[in-house]
Amino acid sequence: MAVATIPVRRVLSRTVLYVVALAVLALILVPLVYAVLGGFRTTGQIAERPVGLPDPWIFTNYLGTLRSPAFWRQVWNSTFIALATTLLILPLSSLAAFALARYRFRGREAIYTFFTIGLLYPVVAATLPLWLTLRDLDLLGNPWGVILPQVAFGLPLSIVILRPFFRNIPDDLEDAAIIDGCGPLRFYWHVMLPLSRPALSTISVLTIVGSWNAFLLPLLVLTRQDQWTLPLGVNNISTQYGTDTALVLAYTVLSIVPALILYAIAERHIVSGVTSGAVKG
Amino acid sequence: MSDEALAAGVASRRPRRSLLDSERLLAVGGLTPAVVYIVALVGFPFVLAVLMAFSDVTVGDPSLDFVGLETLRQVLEDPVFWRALRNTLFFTVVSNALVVILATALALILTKDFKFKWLIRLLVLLPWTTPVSLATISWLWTLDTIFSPIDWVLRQLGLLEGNMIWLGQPRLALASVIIVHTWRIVPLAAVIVMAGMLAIPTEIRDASDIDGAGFWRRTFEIEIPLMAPIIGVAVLFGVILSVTDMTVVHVLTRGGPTNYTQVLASWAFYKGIEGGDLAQGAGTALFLLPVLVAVAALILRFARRTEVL
Repeated sequence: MAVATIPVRRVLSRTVLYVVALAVLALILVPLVYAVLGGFRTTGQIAERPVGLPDPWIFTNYLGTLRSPAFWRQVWNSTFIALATTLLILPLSSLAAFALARYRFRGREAIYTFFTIGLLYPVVAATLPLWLTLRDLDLLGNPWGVILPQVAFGLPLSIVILRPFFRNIPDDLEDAAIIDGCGPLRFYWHVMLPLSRPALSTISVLTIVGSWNAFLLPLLVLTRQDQWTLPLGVNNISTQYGTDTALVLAYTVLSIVPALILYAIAERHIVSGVTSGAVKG
Repeated sequence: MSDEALAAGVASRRPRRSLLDSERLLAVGGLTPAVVYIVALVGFPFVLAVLMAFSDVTVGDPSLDFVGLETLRQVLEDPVFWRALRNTLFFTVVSNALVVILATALALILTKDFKFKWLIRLLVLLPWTTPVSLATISWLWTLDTIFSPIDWVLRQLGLLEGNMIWLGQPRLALASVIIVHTWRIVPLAAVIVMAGMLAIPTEIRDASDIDGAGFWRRTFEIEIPLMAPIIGVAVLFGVILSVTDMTVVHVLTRGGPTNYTQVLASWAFYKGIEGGDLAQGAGTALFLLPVLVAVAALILRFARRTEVL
Protein backbone atom coordinates (compact mmCIF):
# COMPACT_ATOMS: atom_id res chain seq x y z
CA MET A 1 0.00 0.00 0.00
CA ALA A 2 2.71 2.37 0.99
CA VAL A 3 4.56 1.69 -2.22
CA ALA A 4 1.66 2.89 -4.34
CA THR A 5 0.56 5.95 -2.32
CA ILE A 6 3.78 7.62 -1.35
CA PRO A 7 4.86 8.71 -4.87
CA VAL A 8 1.39 10.12 -5.56
CA ARG A 9 1.37 12.07 -2.32
CA ARG A 10 4.87 13.26 -2.96
CA VAL A 11 3.96 14.52 -6.42
CA LEU A 12 0.93 16.26 -4.95
CA SER A 13 2.80 18.00 -2.17
CA ARG A 14 5.54 18.95 -4.63
CA THR A 15 2.95 20.53 -6.89
CA VAL A 16 1.44 22.49 -4.04
CA LEU A 17 4.91 23.69 -3.08
CA TYR A 18 5.71 24.84 -6.59
CA VAL A 19 2.40 26.64 -6.96
CA VAL A 20 2.91 28.50 -3.67
CA ALA A 21 6.52 29.27 -4.59
CA LEU A 22 5.55 30.68 -7.95
CA ALA A 23 2.73 32.74 -6.45
CA VAL A 24 5.01 34.32 -3.84
CA LEU A 25 7.71 34.83 -6.44
CA ALA A 26 5.27 36.57 -8.78
CA LEU A 27 4.14 38.82 -5.96
CA ILE A 28 7.72 39.73 -5.15
CA LEU A 29 8.67 40.43 -8.74
CA VAL A 30 5.61 42.35 -9.97
CA PRO A 31 6.66 45.91 -9.10
CA LEU A 32 10.29 45.34 -10.11
CA VAL A 33 9.51 43.74 -13.46
CA TYR A 34 6.88 46.38 -14.10
CA ALA A 35 9.46 49.12 -13.50
CA VAL A 36 12.12 47.52 -15.71
CA LEU A 37 9.76 46.89 -18.61
CA GLY A 38 7.97 50.21 -18.12
CA GLY A 39 11.29 51.97 -18.73
CA PHE A 40 11.33 50.44 -22.22
CA ARG A 41 7.91 51.85 -23.11
CA THR A 42 6.61 55.32 -23.77
CA THR A 43 4.19 56.75 -21.25
CA GLY A 44 1.48 56.39 -23.88
CA GLN A 45 2.22 52.69 -24.19
CA ILE A 46 2.06 52.29 -20.42
CA ALA A 47 -1.35 53.92 -20.30
CA GLU A 48 -2.59 51.76 -23.12
CA ARG A 49 -1.21 48.36 -22.18
CA PRO A 50 1.01 48.21 -19.05
CA VAL A 51 1.31 44.41 -19.01
CA GLY A 52 3.36 42.19 -21.31
CA LEU A 53 6.47 42.96 -23.33
CA PRO A 54 6.94 46.46 -24.77
CA ASP A 55 6.10 46.75 -28.45
CA PRO A 56 8.18 48.32 -29.88
CA TRP A 57 11.04 48.55 -27.36
CA ILE A 58 11.90 52.17 -26.60
CA PHE A 59 15.40 52.98 -25.43
CA THR A 60 15.22 56.75 -25.12
CA ASN A 61 14.25 56.73 -21.41
CA TYR A 62 17.25 54.68 -20.33
CA LEU A 63 19.68 56.38 -22.73
CA GLY A 64 18.42 59.83 -21.75
CA THR A 65 18.97 59.05 -18.07
CA LEU A 66 22.45 57.71 -18.74
CA ARG A 67 23.31 60.92 -20.58
CA SER A 68 21.98 63.16 -17.83
CA PRO A 69 24.72 64.87 -15.78
CA ALA A 70 22.36 65.12 -12.77
CA PHE A 71 22.08 61.32 -12.68
CA TRP A 72 25.86 60.86 -12.66
CA ARG A 73 26.33 63.50 -10.00
CA GLN A 74 23.88 61.62 -7.82
CA VAL A 75 25.70 58.35 -8.53
CA TRP A 76 28.93 59.99 -7.43
CA ASN A 77 27.35 61.49 -4.28
CA SER A 78 25.87 58.13 -3.30
CA THR A 79 29.19 56.39 -3.95
CA PHE A 80 31.21 58.89 -1.95
CA ILE A 81 28.89 58.69 1.06
CA ALA A 82 28.76 54.88 0.93
CA LEU A 83 32.55 54.50 0.68
CA ALA A 84 33.35 57.05 3.38
CA THR A 85 30.86 55.41 5.75
CA THR A 86 32.40 51.99 5.14
CA LEU A 87 35.98 53.20 5.53
CA LEU A 88 35.08 54.67 8.93
CA ILE A 89 33.06 51.69 10.13
CA LEU A 90 35.68 49.05 9.33
CA PRO A 91 38.48 50.19 11.70
CA LEU A 92 36.11 51.37 14.47
CA SER A 93 34.05 48.18 14.55
CA SER A 94 36.90 45.72 14.09
CA LEU A 95 38.93 47.24 16.93
CA ALA A 96 35.94 47.20 19.25
CA ALA A 97 34.95 43.67 18.26
CA PHE A 98 38.57 42.54 18.71
CA ALA A 99 38.64 43.89 22.26
CA LEU A 100 35.24 42.35 23.01
CA ALA A 101 36.14 38.98 21.55
CA ARG A 102 39.68 38.36 22.77
CA TYR A 103 40.03 40.04 26.14
CA ARG A 104 38.32 39.46 29.44
CA PHE A 105 37.56 42.48 31.53
CA ARG A 106 34.88 43.63 33.87
CA GLY A 107 31.83 45.09 32.16
CA ARG A 108 32.56 43.36 28.87
CA GLU A 109 29.12 41.79 28.55
CA ALA A 110 27.51 45.05 29.64
CA ILE A 111 29.27 46.86 26.81
CA TYR A 112 28.25 44.15 24.39
CA THR A 113 24.63 44.50 25.52
CA PHE A 114 24.98 48.26 24.99
CA PHE A 115 25.91 47.58 21.37
CA THR A 116 23.04 45.10 20.94
CA ILE A 117 20.62 47.71 22.18
CA GLY A 118 22.15 50.26 19.81
CA LEU A 119 21.31 47.80 17.06
CA LEU A 120 17.64 48.19 17.86
CA TYR A 121 17.62 51.95 18.19
CA PRO A 122 16.47 53.30 14.84
CA VAL A 123 17.46 56.51 13.09
CA VAL A 124 13.80 57.50 12.99
CA ALA A 125 13.46 57.85 16.76
CA ALA A 126 16.52 60.10 16.79
CA THR A 127 15.61 62.11 13.71
CA LEU A 128 14.65 65.40 15.31
CA PRO A 129 17.44 65.79 17.87
CA LEU A 130 19.93 64.54 15.29
CA TRP A 131 18.75 67.23 12.93
CA LEU A 132 19.12 69.84 15.65
CA THR A 133 22.58 68.57 16.60
CA LEU A 134 23.73 68.57 12.99
CA ARG A 135 22.41 72.08 12.56
CA ASP A 136 24.38 73.24 15.60
CA LEU A 137 27.49 71.58 14.19
CA ASP A 138 26.83 73.31 10.87
CA LEU A 139 26.68 69.96 9.11
CA LEU A 140 23.36 70.48 7.33
CA GLY A 141 23.93 70.66 3.60
CA ASN A 142 27.16 68.73 3.99
CA PRO A 143 27.71 65.08 2.98
CA TRP A 144 29.55 64.49 6.28
CA GLY A 145 26.30 65.26 8.04
CA VAL A 146 25.03 62.02 6.51
CA ILE A 147 28.24 60.01 6.82
CA LEU A 148 29.00 60.59 10.51
CA PRO A 149 25.57 59.59 11.89
CA GLN A 150 25.41 56.64 9.49
CA VAL A 151 28.66 55.34 10.95
CA ALA A 152 27.23 55.63 14.46
CA PHE A 153 24.06 53.76 13.53
CA GLY A 154 26.00 51.14 11.52
CA LEU A 155 28.59 50.33 14.18
CA PRO A 156 26.42 48.10 16.42
CA LEU A 157 25.45 45.68 13.65
CA SER A 158 29.06 45.44 12.45
CA ILE A 159 30.30 44.70 15.94
CA VAL A 160 27.59 42.12 16.55
CA ILE A 161 28.57 40.35 13.31
CA LEU A 162 32.32 40.58 13.86
CA ARG A 163 32.62 39.46 17.49
CA PRO A 164 31.54 35.81 17.04
CA PHE A 165 33.81 35.64 14.02
CA PHE A 166 36.83 36.88 15.96
CA ARG A 167 35.92 34.52 18.79
CA ASN A 168 35.98 31.46 16.57
CA ILE A 169 39.59 32.06 15.58
CA PRO A 170 41.45 29.46 17.67
CA ASP A 171 43.39 30.63 20.74
CA ASP A 172 46.32 28.47 19.62
CA LEU A 173 47.00 30.96 16.86
CA GLU A 174 47.29 33.76 19.37
CA ASP A 175 49.54 31.65 21.60
CA ALA A 176 51.78 30.85 18.66
CA ALA A 177 51.91 34.50 17.70
CA ILE A 178 52.77 35.55 21.25
CA ILE A 179 55.49 32.92 21.51
CA ASP A 180 56.90 34.25 18.25
CA GLY A 181 57.07 37.63 19.95
CA CYS A 182 54.10 39.21 18.29
CA GLY A 183 52.27 41.86 20.34
CA PRO A 184 48.48 42.10 20.48
CA LEU A 185 48.30 44.92 17.98
CA ARG A 186 50.46 43.12 15.45
CA PHE A 187 48.41 39.98 16.08
CA TYR A 188 45.27 41.95 15.32
CA TRP A 189 46.71 43.46 12.18
CA HIS A 190 48.66 40.55 10.72
CA VAL A 191 46.58 37.55 11.84
CA MET A 192 43.06 38.54 12.82
CA LEU A 193 42.21 40.95 10.01
CA PRO A 194 43.47 38.77 7.14
CA LEU A 195 41.68 35.72 8.60
CA SER A 196 38.46 37.70 8.99
CA ARG A 197 38.29 38.84 5.41
CA PRO A 198 34.91 37.11 4.82
CA ALA A 199 33.32 38.83 7.82
CA LEU A 200 34.88 42.17 6.94
CA SER A 201 33.57 41.97 3.39
CA THR A 202 30.12 41.04 4.68
CA ILE A 203 30.17 44.19 6.78
CA SER A 204 31.40 46.28 3.89
CA VAL A 205 28.67 45.06 1.58
CA LEU A 206 25.96 45.54 4.20
CA THR A 207 27.21 49.04 4.96
CA ILE A 208 27.51 50.06 1.32
CA VAL A 209 24.07 48.73 0.44
CA GLY A 210 22.57 50.26 3.58
CA SER A 211 24.09 53.64 2.79
CA TRP A 212 23.07 53.39 -0.86
CA ASN A 213 19.49 52.78 0.26
CA ALA A 214 19.37 55.49 2.93
CA PHE A 215 16.55 57.95 2.45
CA LEU A 216 15.53 59.67 5.66
CA LEU A 217 18.93 60.99 6.75
CA PRO A 218 19.93 62.37 3.32
CA LEU A 219 16.48 63.88 3.01
CA LEU A 220 17.03 65.75 6.27
CA VAL A 221 20.62 66.77 5.75
CA LEU A 222 21.29 67.27 2.06
CA THR A 223 19.51 70.50 1.33
CA ARG A 224 21.33 71.48 -1.86
CA GLN A 225 20.28 69.75 -5.05
CA ASP A 226 23.84 69.13 -6.25
CA GLN A 227 24.51 67.09 -3.10
CA TRP A 228 21.55 64.77 -3.51
CA THR A 229 21.97 61.02 -3.47
CA LEU A 230 20.13 58.73 -5.87
CA PRO A 231 17.08 58.00 -3.70
CA LEU A 232 16.51 61.75 -3.26
CA GLY A 233 16.99 62.35 -6.97
CA VAL A 234 14.55 59.62 -7.89
CA ASN A 235 12.00 60.86 -5.39
CA ASN A 236 12.30 64.35 -6.84
CA ILE A 237 12.03 63.14 -10.45
CA SER A 238 9.01 61.10 -9.45
CA THR A 239 7.21 64.19 -8.14
CA GLN A 240 8.52 66.61 -10.74
CA TYR A 241 8.01 64.54 -13.88
CA GLY A 242 4.94 62.82 -12.49
CA THR A 243 3.35 62.82 -15.90
CA ASP A 244 6.24 61.05 -17.64
CA THR A 245 5.87 57.66 -15.98
CA ALA A 246 8.23 55.87 -18.36
CA LEU A 247 11.10 58.26 -17.66
CA VAL A 248 10.59 57.98 -13.89
CA LEU A 249 10.62 54.18 -14.10
CA ALA A 250 13.82 54.13 -16.18
CA TYR A 251 15.53 56.51 -13.73
CA THR A 252 14.40 54.37 -10.79
CA VAL A 253 15.62 51.14 -12.34
CA LEU A 254 19.04 52.57 -13.20
CA SER A 255 19.42 53.82 -9.63
CA ILE A 256 18.80 50.36 -8.25
CA VAL A 257 21.30 48.66 -10.58
CA PRO A 258 24.62 49.42 -8.79
CA ALA A 259 23.41 48.06 -5.43
CA LEU A 260 21.98 45.08 -7.24
CA ILE A 261 25.25 44.21 -8.98
CA LEU A 262 27.16 44.46 -5.74
CA TYR A 263 24.56 42.32 -4.06
CA ALA A 264 24.49 39.65 -6.79
CA ILE A 265 28.26 39.28 -6.51
CA ALA A 266 28.20 39.05 -2.74
CA GLU A 267 24.87 37.26 -2.20
CA ARG A 268 26.26 33.95 -0.94
CA HIS A 269 28.61 35.84 1.26
CA ILE A 270 26.07 38.12 2.90
CA VAL A 271 23.58 35.38 3.58
CA SER A 272 26.15 33.09 5.15
CA GLY A 273 27.81 35.96 7.03
CA VAL A 274 24.56 37.28 8.47
CA THR A 275 23.23 33.87 9.37
CA SER A 276 26.45 32.62 10.96
CA GLY A 277 26.48 35.75 13.08
CA ALA A 278 22.82 35.37 13.91
CA VAL A 279 22.60 31.66 14.50
CA LYS A 280 25.85 30.47 15.94
CA GLY A 281 27.07 33.39 18.00
CA MET B 1 41.48 13.64 24.23
CA SER B 2 45.23 14.01 24.50
CA ASP B 3 45.11 16.95 22.13
CA GLU B 4 42.65 18.71 24.38
CA ALA B 5 44.81 18.08 27.42
CA LEU B 6 47.78 19.44 25.53
CA ALA B 7 45.86 22.53 24.49
CA ALA B 8 44.76 23.09 28.08
CA GLY B 9 48.35 22.77 29.20
CA VAL B 10 49.49 25.30 26.66
CA ALA B 11 46.73 27.66 27.64
CA SER B 12 47.68 27.57 31.30
CA ARG B 13 51.28 28.29 30.40
CA ARG B 14 50.37 31.28 28.26
CA PRO B 15 52.54 34.26 29.05
CA ARG B 16 49.41 36.30 29.66
CA ARG B 17 50.40 37.91 32.93
CA SER B 18 53.22 39.92 31.48
CA LEU B 19 50.90 41.27 28.81
CA LEU B 20 47.99 41.93 31.13
CA ASP B 21 48.54 45.65 31.41
CA SER B 22 48.92 46.23 27.73
CA GLU B 23 45.92 44.00 27.12
CA ARG B 24 43.76 46.09 29.35
CA LEU B 25 45.08 49.16 27.59
CA LEU B 26 44.26 47.57 24.27
CA ALA B 27 40.77 46.60 25.31
CA VAL B 28 40.11 50.15 26.44
CA GLY B 29 41.81 51.61 23.38
CA GLY B 30 39.88 49.39 21.02
CA LEU B 31 36.50 50.01 22.57
CA THR B 32 36.71 53.69 23.42
CA PRO B 33 36.38 55.11 19.89
CA ALA B 34 33.31 53.03 19.08
CA VAL B 35 31.64 53.66 22.44
CA VAL B 36 32.34 57.40 22.42
CA TYR B 37 31.16 57.62 18.85
CA ILE B 38 27.88 55.83 19.54
CA VAL B 39 27.27 57.80 22.73
CA ALA B 40 27.85 61.07 20.89
CA LEU B 41 25.73 60.39 17.83
CA VAL B 42 23.16 57.89 19.12
CA GLY B 43 23.05 58.32 22.89
CA PHE B 44 23.18 62.10 23.02
CA PRO B 45 20.41 62.63 20.47
CA PHE B 46 18.37 60.07 22.38
CA VAL B 47 18.63 62.04 25.63
CA LEU B 48 17.99 65.24 23.71
CA ALA B 49 14.86 63.67 22.21
CA VAL B 50 13.46 62.97 25.65
CA LEU B 51 14.32 66.46 26.87
CA MET B 52 12.79 68.05 23.79
CA ALA B 53 9.48 66.31 24.42
CA PHE B 54 9.19 68.25 27.69
CA SER B 55 10.10 71.59 26.18
CA ASP B 56 8.65 74.01 23.66
CA VAL B 57 11.52 74.00 21.19
CA THR B 58 10.73 74.89 17.59
CA VAL B 59 12.85 75.31 14.46
CA GLY B 60 12.61 79.07 14.87
CA ASP B 61 13.37 79.09 18.59
CA PRO B 62 15.78 76.24 19.31
CA SER B 63 16.33 77.00 23.01
CA LEU B 64 15.15 74.34 25.43
CA ASP B 65 12.56 75.95 27.71
CA PHE B 66 10.93 73.32 29.84
CA VAL B 67 7.17 73.35 29.90
CA GLY B 68 6.57 70.10 31.77
CA LEU B 69 3.83 67.99 30.31
CA GLU B 70 2.31 70.78 28.22
CA THR B 71 3.86 69.58 24.93
CA LEU B 72 2.82 65.99 25.54
CA ARG B 73 -0.70 67.16 26.34
CA GLN B 74 -0.85 68.95 22.99
CA VAL B 75 0.44 65.84 21.24
CA LEU B 76 -2.21 63.67 22.87
CA GLU B 77 -5.00 66.12 22.07
CA ASP B 78 -4.42 65.80 18.35
CA PRO B 79 -6.72 63.16 16.84
CA VAL B 80 -4.15 62.56 14.08
CA PHE B 81 -1.72 61.33 16.74
CA TRP B 82 -4.16 58.64 17.84
CA ARG B 83 -4.77 57.59 14.28
CA ALA B 84 -1.01 57.40 13.71
CA LEU B 85 -0.59 55.30 16.83
CA ARG B 86 -3.40 52.98 15.77
CA ASN B 87 -2.00 52.71 12.23
CA THR B 88 1.49 51.93 13.50
CA LEU B 89 0.16 49.02 15.56
CA PHE B 90 -2.22 47.89 12.82
CA PHE B 91 0.43 47.95 10.05
CA THR B 92 2.90 46.14 12.26
CA VAL B 93 0.55 43.37 13.37
CA VAL B 94 -1.02 42.70 9.98
CA SER B 95 2.14 42.86 7.89
CA ASN B 96 4.09 40.69 10.31
CA ALA B 97 1.32 38.10 10.45
CA LEU B 98 1.54 37.94 6.66
CA VAL B 99 5.33 37.86 6.87
CA VAL B 100 5.31 34.81 9.14
CA ILE B 101 3.10 32.83 6.78
CA LEU B 102 4.86 33.82 3.56
CA ALA B 103 8.41 33.67 4.91
CA THR B 104 7.89 30.22 6.43
CA ALA B 105 6.35 28.96 3.20
CA LEU B 106 9.23 30.44 1.20
CA ALA B 107 11.85 29.03 3.52
CA LEU B 108 10.26 25.56 3.37
CA ILE B 109 10.42 25.74 -0.41
CA LEU B 110 13.90 27.20 -0.72
CA THR B 111 15.46 24.49 1.44
CA LYS B 112 14.09 21.76 -0.85
CA ASP B 113 16.01 20.66 -3.90
CA PHE B 114 14.74 21.62 -7.32
CA LYS B 115 15.99 22.97 -10.62
CA PHE B 116 16.94 26.66 -10.84
CA LYS B 117 16.88 26.97 -7.06
CA TRP B 118 19.80 29.40 -7.11
CA LEU B 119 17.94 31.68 -9.52
CA ILE B 120 14.77 31.65 -7.42
CA ARG B 121 16.77 32.33 -4.27
CA LEU B 122 18.45 35.29 -5.90
CA LEU B 123 15.14 36.67 -7.16
CA VAL B 124 13.37 36.19 -3.84
CA LEU B 125 16.02 38.21 -2.08
CA LEU B 126 15.78 41.10 -4.54
CA PRO B 127 13.42 43.27 -2.46
CA TRP B 128 15.87 43.09 0.42
CA THR B 129 18.58 44.82 -1.62
CA THR B 130 16.36 47.17 -3.51
CA PRO B 131 16.44 50.49 -1.68
CA VAL B 132 13.16 50.89 0.21
CA SER B 133 12.58 54.35 -1.18
CA LEU B 134 13.20 53.26 -4.77
CA ALA B 135 11.16 50.09 -4.44
CA THR B 136 8.34 52.13 -2.97
CA ILE B 137 8.49 54.42 -5.99
CA SER B 138 8.09 51.36 -8.22
CA TRP B 139 5.07 50.44 -6.11
CA LEU B 140 3.82 53.99 -6.36
CA TRP B 141 3.55 53.56 -10.11
CA THR B 142 2.27 50.00 -9.85
CA LEU B 143 -0.59 51.39 -7.74
CA ASP B 144 -0.95 54.58 -9.78
CA THR B 145 -4.43 55.93 -10.24
CA ILE B 146 -4.23 56.00 -14.03
CA PHE B 147 -1.39 53.67 -14.99
CA SER B 148 -1.76 50.80 -12.51
CA PRO B 149 -1.07 47.50 -14.29
CA ILE B 150 -3.09 45.75 -11.58
CA ASP B 151 -6.15 47.74 -12.58
CA TRP B 152 -5.40 46.99 -16.21
CA VAL B 153 -5.38 43.25 -15.59
CA LEU B 154 -8.57 43.47 -13.53
CA ARG B 155 -10.20 45.44 -16.34
CA GLN B 156 -9.13 42.87 -18.94
CA LEU B 157 -10.59 40.14 -16.75
CA GLY B 158 -13.83 42.09 -16.61
CA LEU B 159 -13.65 42.42 -12.84
CA LEU B 160 -13.31 46.16 -12.82
CA GLU B 161 -14.57 49.16 -14.65
CA GLY B 162 -12.58 52.35 -14.42
CA ASN B 163 -9.86 52.48 -11.77
CA MET B 164 -9.28 51.27 -8.21
CA ILE B 165 -7.58 54.52 -7.08
CA TRP B 166 -5.43 52.51 -4.67
CA LEU B 167 -3.78 55.38 -2.87
CA GLY B 168 -6.66 57.82 -2.91
CA GLN B 169 -9.15 55.84 -0.86
CA PRO B 170 -8.59 55.36 2.87
CA ARG B 171 -9.10 51.61 3.00
CA LEU B 172 -7.18 50.80 -0.16
CA ALA B 173 -4.39 53.15 0.90
CA LEU B 174 -4.06 51.29 4.21
CA ALA B 175 -3.98 47.99 2.33
CA SER B 176 -1.34 49.36 -0.06
CA VAL B 177 0.98 50.36 2.78
CA ILE B 178 0.60 46.89 4.32
CA ILE B 179 1.34 45.20 0.98
CA VAL B 180 4.54 47.19 0.50
CA HIS B 181 5.70 46.54 4.08
CA THR B 182 5.07 42.82 3.76
CA TRP B 183 6.78 42.72 0.39
CA ARG B 184 9.87 44.34 1.82
CA ILE B 185 10.21 42.27 5.02
CA VAL B 186 9.43 38.79 3.66
CA PRO B 187 12.82 38.18 2.00
CA LEU B 188 14.87 39.04 5.10
CA ALA B 189 12.55 36.95 7.28
CA ALA B 190 12.77 34.06 4.82
CA VAL B 191 16.59 34.15 4.99
CA ILE B 192 16.55 34.05 8.77
CA VAL B 193 14.01 31.23 8.90
CA MET B 194 15.95 29.34 6.23
CA ALA B 195 19.09 29.52 8.28
CA GLY B 196 17.20 28.14 11.26
CA MET B 197 15.76 25.37 9.17
CA LEU B 198 19.14 24.26 7.87
CA ALA B 199 20.23 24.01 11.49
CA ILE B 200 17.67 21.25 12.20
CA PRO B 201 19.68 18.01 12.27
CA THR B 202 18.93 15.75 9.31
CA GLU B 203 18.59 12.80 11.71
CA ILE B 204 15.29 14.23 12.90
CA ARG B 205 14.00 14.36 9.36
CA ASP B 206 15.25 10.84 8.64
CA ALA B 207 13.71 9.51 11.84
CA SER B 208 10.34 11.04 10.99
CA ASP B 209 10.59 9.51 7.51
CA ILE B 210 11.23 6.08 8.99
CA ASP B 211 8.33 6.51 11.38
CA GLY B 212 6.13 7.16 8.37
CA ALA B 213 5.36 10.84 8.88
CA GLY B 214 4.20 12.32 5.59
CA PHE B 215 5.21 15.70 4.18
CA TRP B 216 2.52 17.77 5.88
CA ARG B 217 2.79 16.04 9.24
CA ARG B 218 6.54 16.39 9.19
CA THR B 219 6.25 20.05 8.26
CA PHE B 220 3.60 21.03 10.77
CA GLU B 221 4.38 18.74 13.68
CA ILE B 222 8.16 18.62 13.56
CA GLU B 223 9.81 21.32 11.45
CA ILE B 224 7.64 24.31 12.32
CA PRO B 225 7.63 23.69 16.11
CA LEU B 226 11.41 23.27 15.99
CA MET B 227 11.70 26.52 14.09
CA ALA B 228 9.44 28.50 16.39
CA PRO B 229 12.30 30.37 18.11
CA ILE B 230 13.94 31.37 14.86
CA ILE B 231 10.61 32.44 13.39
CA GLY B 232 10.28 34.54 16.54
CA VAL B 233 13.59 36.23 15.80
CA ALA B 234 12.50 36.94 12.23
CA VAL B 235 9.27 38.48 13.51
CA LEU B 236 11.11 40.70 15.97
CA PHE B 237 13.31 42.06 13.19
CA GLY B 238 10.20 42.56 11.07
CA VAL B 239 8.48 44.39 13.90
CA ILE B 240 11.39 46.78 14.33
CA LEU B 241 11.44 47.48 10.60
CA SER B 242 7.73 48.17 10.40
CA VAL B 243 7.31 50.09 13.66
CA THR B 244 10.08 52.53 12.83
CA ASP B 245 9.58 52.91 9.10
CA MET B 246 8.43 56.17 7.63
CA THR B 247 9.88 55.90 4.12
CA VAL B 248 7.09 53.70 2.78
CA VAL B 249 4.36 56.01 4.07
CA HIS B 250 6.24 59.16 3.06
CA VAL B 251 6.83 58.05 -0.52
CA LEU B 252 3.60 56.16 -1.07
CA THR B 253 0.91 58.33 0.48
CA ARG B 254 2.61 61.14 2.43
CA GLY B 255 0.28 60.03 5.20
CA GLY B 256 -2.77 60.71 3.08
CA PRO B 257 -5.47 60.76 2.05
CA THR B 258 -5.96 63.39 4.76
CA ASN B 259 -3.68 61.73 7.33
CA TYR B 260 -5.52 58.44 7.00
CA THR B 261 -2.31 56.38 6.68
CA GLN B 262 -0.15 58.48 9.01
CA VAL B 263 2.15 56.48 11.33
CA LEU B 264 4.04 57.69 14.40
CA ALA B 265 7.36 58.06 12.60
CA SER B 266 5.93 60.00 9.67
CA TRP B 267 3.72 62.16 11.89
CA ALA B 268 6.74 63.05 14.03
CA PHE B 269 8.62 64.02 10.88
CA TYR B 270 5.84 66.15 9.41
CA LYS B 271 5.17 67.85 12.74
CA GLY B 272 8.79 68.30 13.75
CA ILE B 273 10.68 69.10 10.56
CA GLU B 274 8.10 70.20 8.00
CA GLY B 275 5.81 71.82 10.55
CA GLY B 276 8.77 73.20 12.50
CA ASP B 277 7.43 72.18 15.91
CA LEU B 278 10.42 70.14 17.09
CA ALA B 279 9.03 69.62 20.60
CA GLN B 280 5.79 68.08 19.43
CA GLY B 281 7.63 66.00 16.86
CA ALA B 282 9.96 64.66 19.53
CA GLY B 283 6.99 64.07 21.82
CA THR B 284 5.31 62.03 19.10
CA ALA B 285 8.43 59.98 18.40
CA LEU B 286 8.74 59.32 22.12
CA PHE B 287 5.79 56.97 21.86
CA LEU B 288 7.86 54.69 19.64
CA LEU B 289 10.11 53.96 22.59
CA PRO B 290 7.85 51.72 24.71
CA VAL B 291 7.31 49.49 21.69
CA LEU B 292 11.01 49.40 20.91
CA VAL B 293 12.02 48.75 24.51
CA ALA B 294 9.52 45.88 24.69
CA VAL B 295 10.84 44.45 21.44
CA ALA B 296 14.45 44.85 22.57
CA ALA B 297 13.73 43.07 25.85
CA LEU B 298 12.00 40.26 23.98
CA ILE B 299 14.90 39.89 21.56
CA LEU B 300 17.48 39.75 24.32
CA ARG B 301 15.42 37.16 26.22
CA PHE B 302 14.95 35.10 23.10
CA ALA B 303 18.62 35.34 22.27
CA ARG B 304 19.63 34.11 25.73
CA ARG B 305 17.17 31.24 25.81
CA THR B 306 17.74 29.88 22.35
CA GLU B 307 21.37 30.87 21.97
CA VAL B 308 20.75 32.71 18.77
CA LEU B 309 22.53 36.05 18.29
